[in-house]
Amino acid sequence: MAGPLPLVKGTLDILVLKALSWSPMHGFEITQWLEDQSGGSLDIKDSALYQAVYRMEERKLVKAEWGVTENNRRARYYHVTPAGRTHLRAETANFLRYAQTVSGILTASAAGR
Amino acid sequence: MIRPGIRRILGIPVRGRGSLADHVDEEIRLHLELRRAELIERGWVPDAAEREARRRFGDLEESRRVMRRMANWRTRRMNAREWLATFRQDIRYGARQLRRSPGFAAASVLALALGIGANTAIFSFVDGLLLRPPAHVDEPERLVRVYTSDFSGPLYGASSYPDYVDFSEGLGSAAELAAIASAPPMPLVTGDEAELVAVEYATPNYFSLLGVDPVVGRLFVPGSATEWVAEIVLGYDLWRRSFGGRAGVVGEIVRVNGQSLTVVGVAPRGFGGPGGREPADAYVPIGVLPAIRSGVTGPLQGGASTPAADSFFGRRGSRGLAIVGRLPPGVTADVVSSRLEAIGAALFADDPGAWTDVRDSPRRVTTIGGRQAWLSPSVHRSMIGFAGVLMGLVGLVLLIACANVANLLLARGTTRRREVAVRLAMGAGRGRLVRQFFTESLLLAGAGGTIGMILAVSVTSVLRRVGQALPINAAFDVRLDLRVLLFAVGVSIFAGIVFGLLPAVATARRDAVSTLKGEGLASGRESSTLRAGLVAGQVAICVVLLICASLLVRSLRNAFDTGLGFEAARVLLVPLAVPAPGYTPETGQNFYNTALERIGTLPGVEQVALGQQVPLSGAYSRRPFLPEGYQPGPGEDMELDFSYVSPGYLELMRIPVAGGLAFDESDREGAAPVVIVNQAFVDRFWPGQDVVGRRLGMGPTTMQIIGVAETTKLRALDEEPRPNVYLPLAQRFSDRMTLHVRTVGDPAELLPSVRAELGSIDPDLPIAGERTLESAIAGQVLPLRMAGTLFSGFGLVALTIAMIGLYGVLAYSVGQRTREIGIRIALGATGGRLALSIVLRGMLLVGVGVGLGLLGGLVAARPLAGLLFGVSVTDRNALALLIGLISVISLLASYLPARRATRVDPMVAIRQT
Repeated sequence: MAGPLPLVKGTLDILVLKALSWSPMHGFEITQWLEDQSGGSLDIKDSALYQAVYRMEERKLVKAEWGVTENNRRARYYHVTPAGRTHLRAETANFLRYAQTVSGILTASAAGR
Repeated sequence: MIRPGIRRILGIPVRGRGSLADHVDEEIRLHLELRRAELIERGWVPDAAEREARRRFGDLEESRRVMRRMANWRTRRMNAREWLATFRQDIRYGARQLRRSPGFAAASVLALALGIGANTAIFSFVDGLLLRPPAHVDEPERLVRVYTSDFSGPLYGASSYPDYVDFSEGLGSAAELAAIASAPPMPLVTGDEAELVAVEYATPNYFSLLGVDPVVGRLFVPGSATEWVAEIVLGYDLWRRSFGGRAGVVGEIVRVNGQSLTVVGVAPRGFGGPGGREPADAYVPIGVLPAIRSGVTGPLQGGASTPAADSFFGRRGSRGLAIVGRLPPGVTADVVSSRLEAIGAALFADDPGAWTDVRDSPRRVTTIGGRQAWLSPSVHRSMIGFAGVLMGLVGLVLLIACANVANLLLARGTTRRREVAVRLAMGAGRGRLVRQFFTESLLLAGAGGTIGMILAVSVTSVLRRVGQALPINAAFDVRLDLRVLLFAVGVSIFAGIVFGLLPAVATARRDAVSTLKGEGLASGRESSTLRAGLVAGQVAICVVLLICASLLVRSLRNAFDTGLGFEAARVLLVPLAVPAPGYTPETGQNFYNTALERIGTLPGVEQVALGQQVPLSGAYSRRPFLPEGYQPGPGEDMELDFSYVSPGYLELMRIPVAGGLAFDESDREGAAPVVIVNQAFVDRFWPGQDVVGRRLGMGPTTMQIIGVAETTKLRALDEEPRPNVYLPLAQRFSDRMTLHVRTVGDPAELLPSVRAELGSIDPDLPIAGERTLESAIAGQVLPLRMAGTLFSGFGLVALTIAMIGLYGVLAYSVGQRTREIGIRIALGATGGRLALSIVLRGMLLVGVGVGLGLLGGLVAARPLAGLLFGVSVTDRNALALLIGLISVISLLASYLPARRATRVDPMVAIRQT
């Protein structure tokens, strides 16, 4: 198995929004969700994730509220705002079209040889 | 969990405490711990797990920094939003509260509207009077005015042309000076229309120094002042009035006192010189002035060396120039001032004769810069006093209004005890509650301020009329603009703070627990002391106002009682400008005689006469006289006021002539020169002696005194008896007389026929400036009368407000003590005794207030002293009357609540919870 994949620019936001679209989570829960979903194949620094979350909070794509974890610790829980959902839908569609196009090109030229 | 919105309403903190940095750190710490726990669970040893958690996190410090910064922005935005939301919430809540007690709201808003409106109106008035810079003048703050002290002493005198030249040359580049002279109104003829216009004679650099731009054409081109430049610049109003505002007027020829001048341009609208308050009908180069004055047509032969021109341009004694200067950048008025003083000293050394005043001391040069240069100093001083008194007056009224509203708020605060207690119990901070009450106060202030502005607008139009009647030659305008608006907003907020802070703090400070337990009755004591204090304060301010009012009113009455010395009612004044071209002393005298004769026969005319000076109108002339045999002391001012009069003048004015004769037809040219003096003259020069038959020197002429007239007021109501000399017109022609017509009915109604009659004698004679004697002296009487009216009016309004406050406090305390009173009655207290105790409490408050007010009044009346006439500030009768008045009214205000107390039904009261 190859090493962890570096993240394509701009995809971290969509991934975080996707994670939060299931349920509100605190920071660590988001990293765990991403690791679970990718099987650990994505190389995401935790610091980058937090900065992304804070940035999206600034852009009002997510909203934070203080809550309590299962172990009774105070934590900031993030959830997606309606604007965040719209953003997620649009960016997902974009990304899929982009990935499709790129992979289409790459596979086609390989076949042409 | 209580939702933020609800928390906000109740004033409970929405968010927990703790700083942002803590929040970010907490989040990161939690993350690292959870990661470490997860790793240990997967079999890592604790130390390695710790390191791995940090490695996976990445750059910790950098993240912390970025996250904190973003969190910071967010919080700031949230705080602002939060604050606004709270504010809106408070406003809505406050409005609801006010709607619930409309009586309270209406009373407060009305009181505030009166206070704020009065302040705004008076401010706009004072602003227009004193603070507004002159219109159309470039950088007015760099203007200076230069005065040379008058021969007779006053500091702010006019200067002569040679003085002006020496000043200018002496200053060099330190400052540029321009000068302007005014002369009595001159007939201006355009085509076949003639009218009297006020012309100012300016040095050619006048307009360029001020930086004025013309509306049409051009203004004067700087150059030699003595040069003959036959040009005229029209004032905006004259241009609109008499030239229809035509741009084509430039190049037309008009004649001023026979002198042909070319119209070169029009001054801008509202231009009124360096002070902005002295508009002229037209401006003419100063080089033309001597010719215009002497009535000679065309340039004086021989230019500046002719006697007329020489006397104006060459003689230091010929004063009449107002000097204005402009400071170059970097030069201060002080620099110019000391330079000019040095020049003045040099001039004195050079020519002591011309530079010595009647007190035998050197004349002084005074330079005034800055804002004070915008008004003439004498006007400035009296107006500042007047404006200060007015502002102080309305300030006091606002203070009373604030005290009253504060009182109402305190009373209401008591009824809101439970609400406050509930909110405190739920965790609302007291600061938060103070803010809530404060917002309500601002809401009241805002409503009061808005209505106050509307009041001010309507009052301003009245003030504008008053302003025009004031004794200054002023076309200042009273208007509501941004400055005034800002002032009103400022005053409103200030009022809100003044009346809102105390009650807000007092209300929020109540003890929650005791109130909720129902022990609130006791906790009202502190605020009731406060309220009592406020009532006493209001009474005190009322007393101050009423003391001032009574002083002014009695002073006014005194001024009239002790007498003007003449009878002002039903006299029409028509100024005659006989120097119109073509008149010689002989034809002029003939004109006067014909006019007197013809107008005397008009129906409705009781008497007609000519007088040169109108007493108390602000104009006067003086010259040196020498009573025969009198030895003037060193430096004694021998210049006396005088006036040429026709036979019948003294009789028309109802000025009694004792110990001698009035002028009659026999006192004409060629006959022995005669003169009438007034009693003050006798008292000064020959006290207690019979003066009829004695002689009085005037220049080369010696005149015989034939009578002694009663002393009249000449310049001011409050003047000391002032010597005056009446000269018979028939013995010496004067070209500037005022026709006095005493009428049977309304003098204004007679004006058309008088005009028609004068027109039939000389159709070319311009007539302007006609008015009644009463309006001519109004300038002297008006400030006093207006101040008296304002003080009385405001004083009574204030008294009413204060009495409502007193009633409110007592009625409220009766209401609060219903139960106690019921018990007392049940225990056998009589109604009378109860009522007495309540009335006594009220009178105690009033007593304290009156005491304070008397002290304050004595202090406040000091600045009024200048307006007062024959009244002592500490007049016992007046004070006694005042105290009596207040006592009676406050007895009434206390009696009403007291009567209610005696009617308390003990059974009902005791059952009441």
